Amino acid sequence: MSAVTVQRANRTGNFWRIFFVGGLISYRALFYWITPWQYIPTMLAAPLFQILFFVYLGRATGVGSTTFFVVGNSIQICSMSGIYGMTMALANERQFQTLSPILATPANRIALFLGRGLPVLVSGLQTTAFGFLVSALILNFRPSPKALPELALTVLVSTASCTGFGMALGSLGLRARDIWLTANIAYFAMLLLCGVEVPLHQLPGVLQVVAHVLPLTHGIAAGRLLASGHHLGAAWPYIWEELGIGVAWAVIAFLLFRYFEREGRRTGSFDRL
Amino acid sequence: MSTARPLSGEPAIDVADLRRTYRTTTGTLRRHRLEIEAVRGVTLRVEPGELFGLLGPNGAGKTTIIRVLCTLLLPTSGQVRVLGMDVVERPRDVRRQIGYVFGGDRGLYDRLSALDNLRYFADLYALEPRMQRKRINEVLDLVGLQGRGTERVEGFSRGMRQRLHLARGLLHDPPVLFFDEPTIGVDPVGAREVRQVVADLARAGKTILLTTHYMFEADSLCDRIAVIAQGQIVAEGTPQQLKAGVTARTVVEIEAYGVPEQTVARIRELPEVEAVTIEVRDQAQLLTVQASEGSQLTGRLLQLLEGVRVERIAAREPTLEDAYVALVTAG
Ligand SMILES: Nc1ncnc2c1ncn2[C@@H]1O[C@H](COP(=O)(O)OP(=O)(O)O)[C@@H](O)[C@H]1O
Ligand SMILES: [Mg+2]
Repeated sequence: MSAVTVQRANRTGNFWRIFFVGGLISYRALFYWITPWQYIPTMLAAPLFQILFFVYLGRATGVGSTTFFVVGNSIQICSMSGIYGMTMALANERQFQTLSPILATPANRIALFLGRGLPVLVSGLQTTAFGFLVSALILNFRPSPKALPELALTVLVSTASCTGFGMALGSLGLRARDIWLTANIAYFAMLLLCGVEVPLHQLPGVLQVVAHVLPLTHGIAAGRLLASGHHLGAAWPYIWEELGIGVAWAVIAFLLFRYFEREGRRTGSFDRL
Repeated sequence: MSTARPLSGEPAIDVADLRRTYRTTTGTLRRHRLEIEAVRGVTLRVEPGELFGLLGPNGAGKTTIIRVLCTLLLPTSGQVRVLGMDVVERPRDVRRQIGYVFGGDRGLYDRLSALDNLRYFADLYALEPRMQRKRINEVLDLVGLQGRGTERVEGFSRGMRQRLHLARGLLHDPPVLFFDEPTIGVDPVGAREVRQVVADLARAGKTILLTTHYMFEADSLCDRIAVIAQGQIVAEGTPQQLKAGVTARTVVEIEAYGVPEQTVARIRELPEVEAVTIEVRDQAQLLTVQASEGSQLTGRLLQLLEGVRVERIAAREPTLEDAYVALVTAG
């Protein structure tokens, strides 16, 4: 039946292939807005208008500096990818009913699951970098050159952490029918709760508590410190906290995925819409 | 990868007293709990290299059994082993040794090419990267999709999708294959090609469990068949053995107009009658009556049908289809 002898890949090699190659293939399969005429308007143009809107609103009303809004919004727009992209890259398995064939394979679940985050992370970085770049070009946003690598690190950590949060939504979407409603709420709630447009201390106490377990809140705080000339030392605690929150969300996401996999085998719910 | 074999004498697929119930709820305000007994004590053994058919109508429990075997569903009770490995205790080892192919046009990544669909699964099945390309081309050839690999699946016909499902299930060259209604919705020519691939695989020594609700498909492909109805196996044997069970019977077909329900009920009550089916054709009804003994049957039927306009009444030789109908409608 097979002239080609089927050989088994080495375990470590296979893990990383599922992580990198598999992650990219499944992203292409499941992320809707992948063609340029979908990607450019949703992942670049719309987020750019968000930055412009708030910066000019701030200038017109005199309530916040350009740095405040540029840093807050440029970092927050990574969640176009981190929330919507990540949710698609997991939850769309439902739409294609591909969850059964995937879970019938012996593939390592950590590689299978986490590998899907990498293209989302890269796309999120792209959106945020674009936001900062255009802000520098047309909004006169001028952080000190010394702060640039530190700001880049902050952006990387924030985007990763937002991706981890998106993974949790994506996991939920493997089970819940209307995850898009939740994703929409998450996106707009984060505009408010992560201190993107309003300083955190002006929010009611309960909302501040929620803000502290959400991704981006600490990353944005760190980014603002760095962009306004503070030392890295002042920003470090925020960066660490952002990283910790991101890792926690990714772990929660993976545990949810494993839980749904087990539940699915128990109740027979895979691929039933 | 295809070297794993069960210990000698052990069946390749061993299902012992499998039961599976589903719990669902109905109603939005007042929730009603509902228990569906999809599989009610099924026992079957498939020997290495055998092509075994599970034949039954929709809802009989075929997919449930297959999904338990493929480690996608836990049994409610019972023991299920593949190549001697318990599907509950060693799901990952089982997954390496089996291929799962289901019918229908879902379950593929529409926006990817056939090649990319297979590339993804080649990694998920841990194929050595250097031989993946060759193996992917080989399975595409095998299912008759050579040259179509770079096309996106969204443009594929139902039959091509089904063949891609097949190719995916074969990638890692597993010794045991599960096919769940692999020709459902495929046109007759495409279905014949799918059956040909299944037959070739059987000839190459694979152990195959195939489900179908087409009598002739089971008849033409399988070494042995189990007929399943309402979650239970109602007959098992070679196609010849199953046919032998009905050759002694008589089948009478009646074409009539407006047969009252009480009359049908009275026909069913005749001691020699085993099964009655009714088909509506335009205004006429076609009653097929199977009986264990036929010498008096036609006369007795005409008696019961007094006052009904009977267009045609004729006895004929029983077919395997009749055997199947009798089995799945009984009880
Ligand atoms: N996940 C599920 N939840 C609830 N009921 C189910 C589920 N899957 C199947 N069933 C029910 O179990 C019975 C057997 O279904 P199935 O195994 O799909 O039969 P078949 O494949 O022979 O058509 C049917 O009554 C079906 O409605
Ligand atoms: Mg079925």
